[in-house]
Amino acid sequence: MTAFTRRDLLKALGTSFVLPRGVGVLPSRWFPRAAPSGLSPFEERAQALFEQVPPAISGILWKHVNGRSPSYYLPETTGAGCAFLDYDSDGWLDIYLVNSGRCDFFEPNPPLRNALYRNNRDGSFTDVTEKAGVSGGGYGMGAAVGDYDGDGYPDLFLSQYGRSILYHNNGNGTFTDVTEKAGVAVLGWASSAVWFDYDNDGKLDLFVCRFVDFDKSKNKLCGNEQAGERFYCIPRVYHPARSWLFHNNGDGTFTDVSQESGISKVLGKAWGVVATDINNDGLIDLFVANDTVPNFLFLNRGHGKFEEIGLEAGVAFSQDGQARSGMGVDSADFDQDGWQDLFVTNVDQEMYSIYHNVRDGSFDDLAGPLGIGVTTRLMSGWGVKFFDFDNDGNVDLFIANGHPDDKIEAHSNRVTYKEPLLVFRNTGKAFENVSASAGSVFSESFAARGLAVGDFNNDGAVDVLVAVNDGAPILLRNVAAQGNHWLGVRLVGKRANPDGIGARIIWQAGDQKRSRLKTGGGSFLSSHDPREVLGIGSRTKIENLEIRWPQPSGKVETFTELPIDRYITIVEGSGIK
Amino acid sequence: MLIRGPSRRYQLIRRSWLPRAIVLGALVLSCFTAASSQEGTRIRQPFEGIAAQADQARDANDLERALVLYRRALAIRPGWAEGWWSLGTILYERDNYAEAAQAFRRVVSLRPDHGSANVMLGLCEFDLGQDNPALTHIQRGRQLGILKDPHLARVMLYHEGLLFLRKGRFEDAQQALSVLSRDGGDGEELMLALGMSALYIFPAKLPPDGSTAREVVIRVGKTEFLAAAKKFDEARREYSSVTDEFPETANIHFAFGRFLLSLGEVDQAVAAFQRQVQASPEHVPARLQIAAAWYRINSAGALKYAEEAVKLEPGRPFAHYLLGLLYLDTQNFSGAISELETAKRSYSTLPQLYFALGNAYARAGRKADADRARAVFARLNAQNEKESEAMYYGEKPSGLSEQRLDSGAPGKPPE
Repeated sequence: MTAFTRRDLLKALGTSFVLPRGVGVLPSRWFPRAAPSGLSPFEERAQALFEQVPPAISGILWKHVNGRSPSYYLPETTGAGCAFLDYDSDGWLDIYLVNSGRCDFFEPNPPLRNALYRNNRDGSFTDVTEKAGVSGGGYGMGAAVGDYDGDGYPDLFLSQYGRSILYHNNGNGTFTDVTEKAGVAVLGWASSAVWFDYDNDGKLDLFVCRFVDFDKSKNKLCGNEQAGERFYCIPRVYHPARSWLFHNNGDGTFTDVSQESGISKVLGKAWGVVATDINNDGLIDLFVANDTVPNFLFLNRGHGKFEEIGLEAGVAFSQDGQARSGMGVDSADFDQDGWQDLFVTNVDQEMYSIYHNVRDGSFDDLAGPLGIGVTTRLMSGWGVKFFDFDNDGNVDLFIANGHPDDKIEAHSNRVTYKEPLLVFRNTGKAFENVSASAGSVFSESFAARGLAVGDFNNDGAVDVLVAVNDGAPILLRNVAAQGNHWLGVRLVGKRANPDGIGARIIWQAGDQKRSRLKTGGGSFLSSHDPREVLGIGSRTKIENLEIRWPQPSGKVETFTELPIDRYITIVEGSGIK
Repeated sequence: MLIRGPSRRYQLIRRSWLPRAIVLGALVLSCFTAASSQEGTRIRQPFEGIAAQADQARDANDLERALVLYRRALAIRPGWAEGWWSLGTILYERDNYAEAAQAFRRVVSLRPDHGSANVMLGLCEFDLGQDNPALTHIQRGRQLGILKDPHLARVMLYHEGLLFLRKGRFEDAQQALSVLSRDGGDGEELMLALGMSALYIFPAKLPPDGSTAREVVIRVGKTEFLAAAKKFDEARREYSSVTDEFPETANIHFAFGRFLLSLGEVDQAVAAFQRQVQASPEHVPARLQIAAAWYRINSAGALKYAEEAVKLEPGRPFAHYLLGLLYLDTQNFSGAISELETAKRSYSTLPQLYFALGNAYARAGRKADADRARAVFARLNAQNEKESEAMYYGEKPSGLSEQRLDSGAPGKPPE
């Protein structure tokens, strides 16, 4: 097998980066840099890709409040996250939104709360927070959803500055705070979290990112004291901290294995995390974005051990050796070469990175040749997600942006606090910035943070939810996938972990063959639709669908005669339900 | 004028600021005074009486008498920071920079965290022609924070800009002067300084007053002023116009290219740099700008420019470093190692250099060398992290910057 290298890129082989494995990818001329001005061929024929669903329609009237204070406490500018989850398992995605709240530096009056909105199946939602018992009760950061006890109902880990909460889903529309009982009480500034099965025992374990060592007494004054100027600090001024890994004991409790697993060997300032398999060994690895210190790539060595290989893998620093302000991350095989690639968002001047997997344990940042670097040079990104918004079979890219410092415009010429959303279409040859024609919401600017993707109206087009710091969330209905066909798949593991994290889905529709690894987490402080929507473009039939379940089963199941344009549930060992 | 000292305008501003500065500075220092007053308990009456008289004389603008009284009070109590501050500001007002510097030095030694005293010391050193300590003190003062007084802030930024110009650190000068522009600075002196920073003109080589060349410098400065005010469209039009009218002016396309690059317009910027190379075939910085702008975007296309830069100026470490990065990016590992090792002779403490070398060795299969280079990188990087002083977000350079890597070393403006 020939590894993809930048030399391949220069050799000008092939016509598409969606090529059979072993064939090099394209020369730089095949990666036209995204041009914000001027219409691309796609834009010329396109209508809006996403339409904002106004609160009057969605019924989502809740707003995030950051509690901005004269003391410029750093948590104020960093939240919050959001989640798509089907909490009542009725087949319709509900929405969870995280708010700030009471903590050592903030005493909101009236009190603030998170929000759980039940999907009314007509495009609107009903606030069921109080009844469900998930209002939070601290300075909230993010949400990670996973069925850790395999009872068919998704549970919710709420990461917070202060005390994080594990909500067990009781299966009757209510949740119970089981944090202490489960043994996952973490004190400190928790940010993103992810459920995944690191030891392939069929149970979902929990990784929780910890940001800096911070509390009210450690707040620093960043600015000019004598001039009375104050700004939000660069996290560089705070000490790094260890993240947590909890092993699922299978009895509703967890064991903190941060130390013996090697996770706590390194100190970071962790924001985003994605669970993925970078070397196709069937062991799920973790890519963690760190702010102002090198990113981590925790390679799962098996036997419960991780090795941090960020530097050797080329994903820890920028290409010129600078630690950047990593925020959101994601992972997908964007060029369909069978190897998981990575993405990380950073702050202005640093450019975001799209890391192509070189297949030898290292990655090559293609942000420059793909045009993503130039497009994002003046932007600061948070939530990010690879997903196929137009169901053509290629994973596209959506990014939520906004600068962390609300006074940045006072001391920067070109950077703004609020920034537009970005959407890139994967043409099979390049990532094309189609934001300009993606809809009117893309001409607005936001202090966007969390980003979740999910098909809330079950039309097969994956929608987007964006959490805004100190503002109302943005719900975007996908109208880009109209006319293309699809199959939605929900995986339910039996011997494998219940959410099927780590499963590989391979499907063949006519001349198009695609493969997708079901990753865990990704984005920033957010959680996504557990279902996978398999786009097949204008093709009208999926000839073959193969599910390679993760260990401990490792079972391979093949399905034919599949329906399209609908959702199916595949239960490990039991077929389609 | 610009070569030897501060402009008349900024001196006038400085003087209008001084009476307030004396009072503000004294207020800031008064805590310290109270704390240290115990040292003179035995001689409280004489000291306090003299100090009060000194303040009265200062407030009455009887500066001769104030000087005598402050000196007498400080002889009794040399730890009186407020007194040294007042003495220093009066001496500075009277253009007695040498003695004013001594006074501010005492304030700084008593109160090292007093930003304004550091700045005032730097301003004195500027006038004494002591550029290196002047820049050090002004920058330290700026980092510490200065009194909430826009005049002092402007004087500080202007002088910082001039010091950078004198040292050939044109990008740093441009940044300081842009901040000054945003903070309300204006006037011909500022436009001139901005123009010099954009066109890479040392103060000693400023075209004579009244000449067309000088007018071009001012026009470019005005254009940069528009950019600092975020009037980018206007600035682009004006840049385009002045480069069309005076295409032969040294570095004018180069300046336009850097402006376009700052807007993220890489293609247009590269075209401007290419025009500069056409106009001045020996222009090394324009070649390096093209190579740096294309690094990771079109590394193969950038190679030619970096190779030419190395050939034209083999003693320029940044050219070797950049060429090394480009070779690495285009899979020429032996070429990368050779160029990066050459650059290492000048950049022996630059972590990024070892980062790139580590990658080049690793890709070339030299694992042991890669491990060694990466270990050095990790050590230097950790050290740099500790020394990093930026605490809040702000204007920062993007991408590869020769002056950032060479900071401290004299710039090499093209002829």
